[in-house]
Amino acid sequence: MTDFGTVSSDGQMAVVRFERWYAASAEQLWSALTDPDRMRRWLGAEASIAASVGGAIRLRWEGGEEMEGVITAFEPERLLAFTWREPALGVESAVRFDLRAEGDGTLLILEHVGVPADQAAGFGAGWHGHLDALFATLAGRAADPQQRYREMAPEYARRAGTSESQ
Amino acid sequence: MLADPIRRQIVEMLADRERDVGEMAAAFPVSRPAVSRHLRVLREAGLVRVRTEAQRRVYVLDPRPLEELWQWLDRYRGFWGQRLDALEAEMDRGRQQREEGQ
Repeated sequence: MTDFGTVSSDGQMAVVRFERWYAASAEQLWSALTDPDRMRRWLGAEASIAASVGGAIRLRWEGGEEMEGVITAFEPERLLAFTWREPALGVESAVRFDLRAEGDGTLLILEHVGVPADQAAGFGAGWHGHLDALFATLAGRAADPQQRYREMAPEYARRAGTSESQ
Repeated sequence: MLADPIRRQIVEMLADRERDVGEMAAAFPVSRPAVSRHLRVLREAGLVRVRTEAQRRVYVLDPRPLEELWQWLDRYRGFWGQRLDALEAEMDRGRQQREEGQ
């Protein structure tokens, strides 16, 4: 399985990118991305999201972390994009989910751009855990993205380190 | 910046070990967003660094700005120390002259 994301960095800012294929329809994935109840299952966060460009998306995790962004693209079953702002990091990044029908499933492409380079490994392993959790929830299973994060963190630290030195 | 008692307490907590915002907010009577704002001030001052662990943000104390401040103060402590020594010597001389004059 090529489930690993890529981390590319210019030393300052990094891009974290995943391509995951899911045995699910674009409709099912769109619902997982935009329905607060379903978002909570794989993001592990209380979510609220406006269904239009210019609206707000808010994620609040149990540990006290918060993200608030603005929707920049909202094309049902095709494209969701939003800015990613959190007070802790002091920079604004951007997240984009592309959905493409492929075979009898859907390819999901996640791109998180503008991530501070020194935080890229944490985001990479974090998204890896969440996308695995998305896979589990689509199959009707419970998921623990935090557990996956801990398993993946060393590998992403290695990858982020490698891309920085290139 | 460290005149604020909550920020001083945050620095003390982080000197002990790294922590996340939830853990720190639990120690203060102010709201979590307020603690986040204090953390932002400390981060912008370079006293605190943040590490991303999935959605968790872990705060770590960076003692370098404090060390620089300490070194700076140390230089002036030497400066004022000398001035105070000179002042003391001057006062002694004045006292001696008064005693001799009597």
